[in-house]
Amino acid sequence: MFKIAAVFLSQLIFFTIILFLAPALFIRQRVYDLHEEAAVQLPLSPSSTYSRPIDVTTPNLNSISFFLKNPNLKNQQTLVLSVFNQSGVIRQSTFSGRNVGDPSWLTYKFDPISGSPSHLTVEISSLGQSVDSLYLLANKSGQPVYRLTHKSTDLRQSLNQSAANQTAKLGSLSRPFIVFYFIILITADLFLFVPINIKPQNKAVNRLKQPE
Amino acid sequence: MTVRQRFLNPLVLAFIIRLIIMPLFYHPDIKSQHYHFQFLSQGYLNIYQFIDQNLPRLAYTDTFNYLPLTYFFFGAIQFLLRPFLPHDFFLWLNDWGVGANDYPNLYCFMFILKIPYLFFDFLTAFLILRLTNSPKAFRLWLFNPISLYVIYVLGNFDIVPVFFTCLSLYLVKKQRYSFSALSLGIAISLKAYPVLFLPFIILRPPYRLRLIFSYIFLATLPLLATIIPFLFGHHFLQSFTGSGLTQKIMEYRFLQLPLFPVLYFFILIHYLLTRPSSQYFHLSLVFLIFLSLVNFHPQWLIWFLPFQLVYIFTKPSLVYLHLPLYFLVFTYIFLTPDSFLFWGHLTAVDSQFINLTSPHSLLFYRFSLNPDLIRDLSHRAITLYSIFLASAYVQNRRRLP
Repeated sequence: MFKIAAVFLSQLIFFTIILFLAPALFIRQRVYDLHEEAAVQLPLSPSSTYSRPIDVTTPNLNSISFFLKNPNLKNQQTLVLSVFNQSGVIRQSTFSGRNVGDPSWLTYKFDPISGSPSHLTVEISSLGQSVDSLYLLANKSGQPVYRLTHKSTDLRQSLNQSAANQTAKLGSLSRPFIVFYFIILITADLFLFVPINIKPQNKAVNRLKQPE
Repeated sequence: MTVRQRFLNPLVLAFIIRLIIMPLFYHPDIKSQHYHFQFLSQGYLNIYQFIDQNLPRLAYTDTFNYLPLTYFFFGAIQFLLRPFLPHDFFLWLNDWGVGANDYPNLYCFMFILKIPYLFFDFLTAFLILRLTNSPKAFRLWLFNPISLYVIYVLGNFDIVPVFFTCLSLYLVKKQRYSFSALSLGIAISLKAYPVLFLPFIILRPPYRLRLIFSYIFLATLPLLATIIPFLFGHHFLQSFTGSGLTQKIMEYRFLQLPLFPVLYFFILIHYLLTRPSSQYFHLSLVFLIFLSLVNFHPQWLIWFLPFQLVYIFTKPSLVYLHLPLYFLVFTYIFLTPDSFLFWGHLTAVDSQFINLTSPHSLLFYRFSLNPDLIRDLSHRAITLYSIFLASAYVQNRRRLP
C-alpha cells in the first residue's frame, strides 16, 4: 500500500512541477505579440511621430518593442519611445539609432505599469537630422508593428497566474481524454504491485538465458 | 529474478514513463508532418504536386521532404486516429499564426499522435530481446534517454524505420534472408538512411552474385514501387534534391575526400574480410564515425541505437562509458540555435516557454561567449570521445551467439 501511494505521490509531484511550478519559476514575463506582417516601411524622418493605441488587459506591462530597419546600419539619430495614458506620459526614454539593426526589434524596458485593463498609447518619434535612413515597420494598415511584455512582480503572483492558466487549460481539455488517460495511468501503476501468477514453464522463458 | 521482475515490471514502468512524457512535450516537426499527412484523407495522392501548385494558399508553406510511403503510411494512421482526436485537431493543425499552439487540447494531440510510435517502440524492444535473448538489452532500450527524447519529446517518426531495420536483422538471425531484405526495403521507403545498413545485411558468404542482386532487388522493391508514380513529375525531385543527410555526410573533407564515406568503406571492407563476425560491432563503429563527422539532427541518433545496444549490453563498463557521450550529444543538441530544441519542448504546458532565452542565447547575452564555438567544441569532444569508444569496442569485440 505504501509503495502504491509513493508511486502516485511521485507522479503527482512530477505533474505539479511541470504544469505549475516550472511556468511560475521560469516564465517571469509574458510576451504579447500579434505576429503582424511587416508590410509597410514608414520613414522615421526628423520630427516624425508614429503612435498606436493598445488595450492592456494584463497587468505589469514592462516593455514595448518596435520593429525597425536601419539600412547599412548608418543611422545615428535620437529616437524617443513613450507610453501615454489619459493623464499623459507615464514612461519615456531615448535611444540612439546606432542600436538598431537591419531589421531588429528596438525594446524599451521600464518599471512595470500596474493595473489593468487600461487604454494606453505607445509612440515612437525621431529627433535626429538624418533623413530617410531609419524605417519603422508597420502592418498593412500603416500601424506600427509592436510587441509587449508583462512581468510577474513576484513568485506568488507568478504561481497564481500559472495556477490560473493551467486550471483554465485543464478545464478546457477533452473530458474523455482526461478520464481515459488517468484510468490507463492508474491501472499501469497498480499493475506494478498487483500479484500475478505467471507459469515459469513458458517456452519464451525457457529460450532466454539466465542473467549473469 | 522472476519473469515478472525481468520483463513485466520493466515493461510496465517503461510504459508509465512514456505515458507521462507523451502529452507534455512538443516539437513543431510533429505538427508540420501531420499538416501534410492530412491531405491524404482529402484525396491528394501526389502531395508533392499538391504543395507545389497550392503553396500560396497553404497555411504552412514548407515542402514535404519525405518519401511517398511515409505520406501514405502516416496519412493512413492519422485517418485511423481521427475518431480519438478532439474536434479542434484540424483547427490546430492548420493554425500557424498567432496563438498557433494556445490550444488546451495540445496535450491530447501530442498523446494520441505519439501512440503509433509507442507501438513501434515496444515492438523494437521485443525485437532486441529476441536478438539478444537478454532482459538486460531489453531494459537498456526501454530506459535509454536517447530513444525517450527522440520518440516522445521530439515526436519524430524515425522509430518506424528503426523497427523495420531491427526486424531485418532479426530475420537474418532466423535465416529468412529474402524477408530481411524486404523489411529493410520498407525501412528505406520510409526514410533513406537504412541504405547505410544494406551492405552489412545482404553481403554474406557464399558471395553469389545472383543472391546478392536478388537481395538488392528485394530491398529496393518497396522504394521503387512507391516512388515510380512520382518520378516523372518535377515536384517530387525538387523536394528531394539536396537531401539533408546526403549533404551532411559529405561535409567533412580531408584532401577533398569526404571522410564519412571513406571511413564507412573501410569499415565495410573490414566486415567483409572478418566474416562471420557480427554486424553489430561494425554498425556501432559506423555510428561513432557518423556522430563524429556529421552535423547530425537529434532524431538521427536513434537510427543506430538498437545495434549499438545489442553490441554493448553484455559489458556494463561499456554501457557506462557511453554516459559521457550522451552528455556531450545532449549538450550539442541543446546548444542548437533553435528555441524548440530546449524550452520550446514545453510549449504544450505553456506557449510562452518559446520566448524564454535558449541556452544558445544565454551563453551569448549573459556570459558573452560564442555559443556556436562552444557547440563546435562539443562536437569536437564527441569526435575525440568516439575515437576512445571505438578503441573500447575493438578491445571488447565479441561474437553474438
